[in-house]
Amino acid sequence: MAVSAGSEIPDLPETHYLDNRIYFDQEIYSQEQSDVFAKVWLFVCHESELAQPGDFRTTLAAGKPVVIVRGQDDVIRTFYNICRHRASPVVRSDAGNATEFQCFYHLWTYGLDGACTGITKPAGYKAVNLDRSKLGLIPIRTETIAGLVFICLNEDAPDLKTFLGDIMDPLMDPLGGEPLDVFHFHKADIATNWKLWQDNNSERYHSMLHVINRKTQPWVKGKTSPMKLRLGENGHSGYWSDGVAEVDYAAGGYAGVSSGILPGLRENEMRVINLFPDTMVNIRSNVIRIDRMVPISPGCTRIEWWGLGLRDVSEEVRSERLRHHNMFWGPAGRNLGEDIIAVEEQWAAMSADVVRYSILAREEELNPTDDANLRAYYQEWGRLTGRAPNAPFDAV
Amino acid sequence: MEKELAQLLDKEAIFDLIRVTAARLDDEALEEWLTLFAPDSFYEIAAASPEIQSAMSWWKSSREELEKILSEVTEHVRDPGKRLHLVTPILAEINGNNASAISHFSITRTDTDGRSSLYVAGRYEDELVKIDGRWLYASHRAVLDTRMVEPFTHLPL
Repeated sequence: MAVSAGSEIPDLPETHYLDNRIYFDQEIYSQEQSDVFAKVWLFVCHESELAQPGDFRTTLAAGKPVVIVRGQDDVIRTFYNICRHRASPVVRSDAGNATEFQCFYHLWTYGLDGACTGITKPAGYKAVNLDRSKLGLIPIRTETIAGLVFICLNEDAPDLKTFLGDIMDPLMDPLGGEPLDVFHFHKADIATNWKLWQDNNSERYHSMLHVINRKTQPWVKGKTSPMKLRLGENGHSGYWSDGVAEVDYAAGGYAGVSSGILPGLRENEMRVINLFPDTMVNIRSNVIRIDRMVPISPGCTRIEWWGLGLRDVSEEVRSERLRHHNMFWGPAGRNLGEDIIAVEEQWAAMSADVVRYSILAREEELNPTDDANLRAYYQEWGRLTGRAPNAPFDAV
Repeated sequence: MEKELAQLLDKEAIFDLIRVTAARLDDEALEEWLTLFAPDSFYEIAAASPEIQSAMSWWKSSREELEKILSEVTEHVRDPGKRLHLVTPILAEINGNNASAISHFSITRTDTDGRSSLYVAGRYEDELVKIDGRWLYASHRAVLDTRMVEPFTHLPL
């Protein structure tokens, strides 16, 4: 039997395989920061993290430090977290409440609306007529939908609603029907490329990796299912059922975790959406997990994980949903550790560049283990980077 | 004098329990680890997030739940790294058949190539109960200073 070399181009349609170098090439990684992350809307936090005027959060977006803050006028704004004087960070903590922002270095001061409100020893600038009204913090476009706060570094991008299309529709009730709160947040720097985590979050074929999913999700091994992949615009996708498709917790011996169901959901229902380029919202009955990826280098990705649920519920419900969350998705959870091991070891082996191509060729009429959503994602990646995902170094 | 001696013996027995607990996990002797818990006890990993300005529970299970979870550990795809606990018991306050104890701990991880690194650091905050002359956990809480834990483990800390 003849065995093909790992570098041989697969005998498949061009959309059905990827050149694995997109996961470890430094030039492509750098281009992604400017041509993907700096061009589209990015989820940054939940609005309940900014509940009161003055509440702020800091993070990185497209490699740039940003601060998101609720103003005294209740408007959520985002600014580059960089002082206009000598480019020091203005805010140095992850979160908090402020009445103003003051740079720690030379004590320039900014209002919550970004305006520069104070320059220390101003007389020193009189000779050059320095105009502080032109030296506010640099603003970044900010919009919210269903409590999710998004920012966009690109002034020319369409608005958030246009970017998302209708992919958020199945989440509007669960996320927007009643007040939510964030009960969990953790992060880790994992040794993989950011897209491999997004792939893992998007493709359902790997559900077989998880013993707990094999036991509780009837559609993991079955051929057809009411659970279907959904292809959105701009590389977004989803995974939910219009009929009854219950997670069978009892089959795994894990019953009694689902009370306090989110609005619009059936008992033991799952809904997942994967937003291009870097976010997943995964809902199980009473608990919401959100993943966000912050690329650090081609082989290192900071992943941030949120856990959310209904704010106004009893301690009993809180306790039950916490068990539910932690069982699958907590740092010591049953599934999360397996996913991390998978993408880390995958990246290490992939980087050897022996097997040059990944195969995304499953066609199953949008049943869960179809690869159609991965193919759509990489078409959008290709559109933004100007590179063919299957031949990224060919002249475009 | 007799009472002071009894207190010292109790304290040493509690510190011994804490050291043995760590050794059981390092050896992955999970059934033996469970025998160190009282019937109505629980185990917890607690942490905090400055991002959401809140304490969190990363794992909280009753003894009964632990039994099921630990019996399934070998079914998982797991990190092959070896973990080693370094535990320093700090104090034990004894009140009859009940006690509270605090210990500091760190855990190293040695990967399959033999590289060792610090995995997590924190402290155990324990409530204990003496049953039939033997100190057992009423609650065993690993309260982490470390917030970025990677790679994850399917085992308690």
